[in-house]
Amino acid sequence: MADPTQPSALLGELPADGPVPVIAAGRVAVVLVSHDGERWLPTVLEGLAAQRVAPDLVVAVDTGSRDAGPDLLAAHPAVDAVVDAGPGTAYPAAVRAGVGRADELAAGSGGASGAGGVEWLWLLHDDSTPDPGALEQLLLAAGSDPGADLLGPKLREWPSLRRLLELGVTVSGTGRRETGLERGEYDQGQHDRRRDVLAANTAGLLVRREAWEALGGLDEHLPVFAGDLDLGWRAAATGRRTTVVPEAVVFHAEASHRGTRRARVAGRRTHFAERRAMLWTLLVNASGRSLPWRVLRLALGTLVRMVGLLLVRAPGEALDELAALVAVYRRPGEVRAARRRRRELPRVGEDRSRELLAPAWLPYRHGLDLVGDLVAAATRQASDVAERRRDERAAEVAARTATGRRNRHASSTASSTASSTASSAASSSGTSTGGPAARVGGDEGGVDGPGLAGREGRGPVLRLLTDPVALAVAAVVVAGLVATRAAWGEVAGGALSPAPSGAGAWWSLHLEAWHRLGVAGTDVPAPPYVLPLALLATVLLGSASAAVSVVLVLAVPVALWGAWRFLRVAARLADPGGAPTWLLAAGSSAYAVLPLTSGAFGEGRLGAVVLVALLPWLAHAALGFLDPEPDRRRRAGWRTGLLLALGVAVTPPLWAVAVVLVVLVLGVGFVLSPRGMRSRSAWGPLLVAVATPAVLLAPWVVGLLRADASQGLLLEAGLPPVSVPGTADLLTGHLGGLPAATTPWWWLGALPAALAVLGLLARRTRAAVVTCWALALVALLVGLGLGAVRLDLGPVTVPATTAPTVVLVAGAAVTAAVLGALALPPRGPGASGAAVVAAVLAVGAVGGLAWALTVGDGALGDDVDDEIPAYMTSSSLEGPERGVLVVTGDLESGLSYTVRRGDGTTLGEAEVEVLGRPAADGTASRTVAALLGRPDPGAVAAVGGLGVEYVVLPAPADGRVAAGLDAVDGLVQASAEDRSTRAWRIDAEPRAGAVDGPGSWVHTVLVVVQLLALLVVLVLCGPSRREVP
Amino acid sequence: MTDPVTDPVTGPAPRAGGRRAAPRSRRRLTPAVVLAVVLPVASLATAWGLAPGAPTDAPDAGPARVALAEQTLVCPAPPDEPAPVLVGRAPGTGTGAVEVAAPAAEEDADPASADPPDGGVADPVVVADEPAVVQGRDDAAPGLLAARFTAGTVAGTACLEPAASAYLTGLGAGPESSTVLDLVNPETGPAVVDLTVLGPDGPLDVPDVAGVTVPAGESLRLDLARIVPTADDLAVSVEVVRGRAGVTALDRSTPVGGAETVEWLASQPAPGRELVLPGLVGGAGERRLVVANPGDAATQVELQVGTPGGAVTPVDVRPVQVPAGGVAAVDLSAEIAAQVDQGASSLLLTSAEPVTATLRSRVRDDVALTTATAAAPETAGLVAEGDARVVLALPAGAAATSAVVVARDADGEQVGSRTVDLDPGASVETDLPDAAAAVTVAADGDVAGAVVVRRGDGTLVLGLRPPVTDGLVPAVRPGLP
Repeated sequence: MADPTQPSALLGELPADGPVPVIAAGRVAVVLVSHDGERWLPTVLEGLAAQRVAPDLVVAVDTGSRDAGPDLLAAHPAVDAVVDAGPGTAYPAAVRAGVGRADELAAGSGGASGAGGVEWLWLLHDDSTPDPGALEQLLLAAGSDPGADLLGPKLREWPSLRRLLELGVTVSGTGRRETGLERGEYDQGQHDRRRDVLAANTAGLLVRREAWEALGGLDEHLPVFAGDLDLGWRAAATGRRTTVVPEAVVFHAEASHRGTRRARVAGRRTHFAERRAMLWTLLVNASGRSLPWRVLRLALGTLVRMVGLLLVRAPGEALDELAALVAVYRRPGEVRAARRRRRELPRVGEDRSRELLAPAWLPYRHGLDLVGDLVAAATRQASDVAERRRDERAAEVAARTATGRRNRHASSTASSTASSTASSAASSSGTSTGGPAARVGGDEGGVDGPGLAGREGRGPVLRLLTDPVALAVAAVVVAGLVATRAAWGEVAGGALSPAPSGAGAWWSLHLEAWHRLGVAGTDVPAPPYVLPLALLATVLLGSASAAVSVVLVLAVPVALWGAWRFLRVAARLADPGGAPTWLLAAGSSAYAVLPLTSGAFGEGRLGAVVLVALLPWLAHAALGFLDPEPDRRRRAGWRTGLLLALGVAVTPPLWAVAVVLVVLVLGVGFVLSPRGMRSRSAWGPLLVAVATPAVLLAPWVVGLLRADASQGLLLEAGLPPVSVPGTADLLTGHLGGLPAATTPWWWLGALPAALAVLGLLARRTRAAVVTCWALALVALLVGLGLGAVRLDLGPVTVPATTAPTVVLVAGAAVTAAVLGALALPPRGPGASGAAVVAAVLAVGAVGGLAWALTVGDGALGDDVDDEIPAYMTSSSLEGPERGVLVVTGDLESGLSYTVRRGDGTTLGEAEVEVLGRPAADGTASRTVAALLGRPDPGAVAAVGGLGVEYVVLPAPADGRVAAGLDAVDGLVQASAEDRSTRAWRIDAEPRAGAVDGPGSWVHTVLVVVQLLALLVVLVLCGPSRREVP
Repeated sequence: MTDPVTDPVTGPAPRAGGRRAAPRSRRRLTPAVVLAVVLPVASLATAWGLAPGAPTDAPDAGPARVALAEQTLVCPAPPDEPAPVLVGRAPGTGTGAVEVAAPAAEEDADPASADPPDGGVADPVVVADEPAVVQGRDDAAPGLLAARFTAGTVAGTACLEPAASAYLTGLGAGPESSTVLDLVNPETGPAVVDLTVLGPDGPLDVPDVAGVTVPAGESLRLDLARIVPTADDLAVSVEVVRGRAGVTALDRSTPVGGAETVEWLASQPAPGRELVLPGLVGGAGERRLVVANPGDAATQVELQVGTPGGAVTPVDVRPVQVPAGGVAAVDLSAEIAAQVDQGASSLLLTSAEPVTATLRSRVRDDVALTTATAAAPETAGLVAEGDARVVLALPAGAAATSAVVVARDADGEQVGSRTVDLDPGASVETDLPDAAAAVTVAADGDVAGAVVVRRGDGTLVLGLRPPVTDGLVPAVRPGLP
């Protein structure tokens, strides 16, 4: 047999084993249903003809094929009759027609239709070809097991012929067809056990005629899919048995399931047809008791599956899910009728379907597997950019080499002249798999944690304990966690306001257009980082303080992990050898202490802390722009855009840096390679990356502009003012809160910068180091521009935040230091140079941690003492109109006032209150000024009308101001713990709704667009579905 | 692939420069080398230029001056003899009648009224046995001056506005010298006053004087000899924590074998580092300087005397050490008498920490109390009957200035005027005409002044104070949450 697709050629003869084989008696009719089966039919018919036990009758049913299939059938000698069922005939009807025809033929040839009629039906599809022994083995099994009414063969994949498809099937509670096999499992006889199953595929199914008639054949409602499951379930429910016979082998192409054939009965949407069939099968066969639960579960499950499908960018299938659900649920009468028909089926024994159904935990197991696969695919997205670029270049080299000698010569010249550079090293070796990169970067996914490469053979604990690098990294993480102990639990202080009561407070802050905060309420939008915090707090069971703690405490480990990932890929881009793990560990540790050493943590600058943790991930995502594959570049654009949006949310000027960088890169790209930049996939992702934050943060940006509070666009997260870096701070990674020149520790921050300068001396990686310097320069130039901007916030005038510049410069310095060290040999003679670099970086990291553990306590504490008596704060919780007017200052230098509402100024509200403060000469200010300046009962009433219940002058109160308030009618003196704090209650019930304001449909629309855009971007930056195994 | 510029996405990829540079590196500067020099230099230069200014707070906004709506002056209760209340008005300020009444006067009682002419003094108003409250509203409010002088003995004091805080120094609580404090609440709501009594070694633990409540419109008398019986020199700091209350002190001293004399002790609004005590009384007698330090750190106080030529440091006077929160007293009997003979008329104190001070002079069987007086450009005071002179003094650290002293009679007619030039640390005496009932001092700079009245053997020293002509409205603005 020359044809390799011939199954029997591979199988050989089946050994004759077991007890005395008895072939079941009775005539066997084959019903072969065909639709456009020209591709497979010749093989199928050959297989049919080659059966060792030939069937008595072969009836082919054609359902309106438009190819040569009917001719093939008619011409083949093995086929006794061809029924033309016409187009649009479903499989059940076709089988019914075939059985009818077989009966006619049997009656014609065998005399009396009763005794000599067909006793066995063997169903075949036009894309399933039986092994020569298939029917023989099925009949032998039927003969040895007279109780079996349905016998299914072992199905193997066609055309691979080796992989198992099914050995009987069952169905899970969610309507998933369960085979119990791994995907693509090779048949090595591992499942060869004859056993009872819920159902067997109709391809190759041998059915006892009596059972067929009793069960009523296949359900007409299931034209293509799930008919077999339904038949088997009915059989099991009526006490019949379905047995799988592994000795019988049928090869199945699953043409309908895979969509390689578009049958009209299956409709255009395969997924829809499948889901509809499964839902129908579940609903009509389920026990009556479980039916309500099933109805609910399938509906909810459909929604969950839709979300999942949307997340992997399969909107068509998601719609199919919904359509299938609607198609089944909108005709409850049909389901009831079908259930009634099933109840009326004759029973021959106990209902055995329960034990044959899939276990209840199975769907959850599948869900977990899928999530794991998705996470793995998502984390792998950019990590192997370097490899793919080398593969691409290798392929190009190969292509050129093939085109001619001249090109080959040029290529080899290039390789020899620049053999030290990364890409030519790859092209000269011609492969990326054998290089040291594969050895160094063993942990592709990065999820194993750093430093565990190359020790896969041992347990994780042993691997950790035996790897000094992993131990060192673990020590840095632990020390970082201890150094951030101030943030365990409730934390506030410095620029960090206390967390609100729960995630709900953040949600309403984000969703509402009008905030009942400050003197008279404001329409200044919530700062943009409130949304991610709200999401995080929601995940953490609604605890806002847990969200803040998580962000602050995990900043160091997350920065370390991100820096490790980024430096590993960056190093492999600069040098195919990549960086040794100890160098990566030193570099990422030196970066990861930045939240502490920069002063961001101690000052409570949440924005800067988040930026430090986020930046390496952002840079890692941006490396995806270098991917040779356009689709991956596009996704890198979305990913970078999403992370950039998060970074911009906490430190808005980061966007300016990103825009300048993108403009520069595009400009250089267009100058150097106008042809290469013509492709949209070259420049599109970059534009996507900078445009995404603008869309995702639209409610905030537009809101600020509408509220005439555009200063907020240049403020970092937190309560202003924050400290400002000087020149030395900029170069040593300090945000300015620390007295850089006076503390003996400041030189620790200068170490990476010094190494970055030295890194320029190394010729081999100079280009990469220069790139880092260029990045730093851009950040500094943007900072130069921003630093000149002064923002008038009323009580204080601050410069635009330069935190992004500080963090970017520090990150670029560490990267340049690591890349510069790559030029030094990692092992062998001269290795000490790289070791010295790593050691210096490690000194920076360890010294920074030591400083943070000993000196750097900072301003963080458990709570902010706002000196308001407790009974007032509890009263103000009763409603926003019960505000507390807090007045500080004295007569000579002027008085400042704020109105504290609800639970005080919580995280996210500080900026709203600062930017939404009333104009100094506005009505609200004049009202308050009238009360404090020339108090009279009218002024008291006017202030009460602003929604103020108490007036407080915290210690030290100016007695002259206090005396004036003491004297006025309408103010009742109130007590305070501190005698020098003066307090009064306004003797009138606060007016409900005093601080209410108008809603805004613009804000609503923008928030809806934002949330939708967030979903879309999340979906777009996820891995493509084909990458999820 | 060897041409790096064909790469559509890398842009200025690291490899690009390096690759192109490699073959030529030995001959000339490659772009990578140029960049390797230019970029760090440019970065450093940018970092150098990038010095964003630190956050700046909005500048302090001083209070606005507005027309005074109301002025209340609290006069102490008289001692055992009649002491009518004199109400005057600084020239060119307000017009109209003001009410003079005892704080606890019945609601329906018709309050006495006084209508001082501009720059003059109204007829004395008798408020028997009670403190008196002088209250002017609207047009009658600005520029009010009031004082209470005894008719027989030479004692008197200026009536003051109720202040949130006041400091009384040199009080006694013993048999020789004892002080009675009067707390007067002129308002319609209760007032709560915290008193802190300072002794030689620090604040005394006196439980009954914290949180003293003065009911609305009433006065409360505190006898220090009963509360803290002690022979030590004391000081009291007064903090009004609720409402408004004026505090006055009446000192009774009975030297062994001598007759009792009374004198009111004026309060100081705030402690200071540079104090001027204008008005020294010449002649033989006992003089005792009491310095109180309400702060948390001990301090040393240097003493000088002001003479017409400038400040002079007496050779045999040593600095006074005052403990934190404590009171120190030093006997200057001989030194002051000698200095006054040589033309000194003021005492100048310089301290590292803010202090308060009173000089108690017992000369010719009469007590005169000279307290530290705040220096101001415009001051005024009423003049008691007798042989009066004005003492003007300039702190040693101030710039030279000249001041115009104008004396007016009860009708407000100018009866004398003199321009006085003052060097730093100088103290100049100016005699007033006999008809003078009120005096005003206008200077270029801050000048401290006092009226010294001698009548028979008695002497009275009355500090000049700036008349209140305007209301102060604080600048109010939104603050940071």
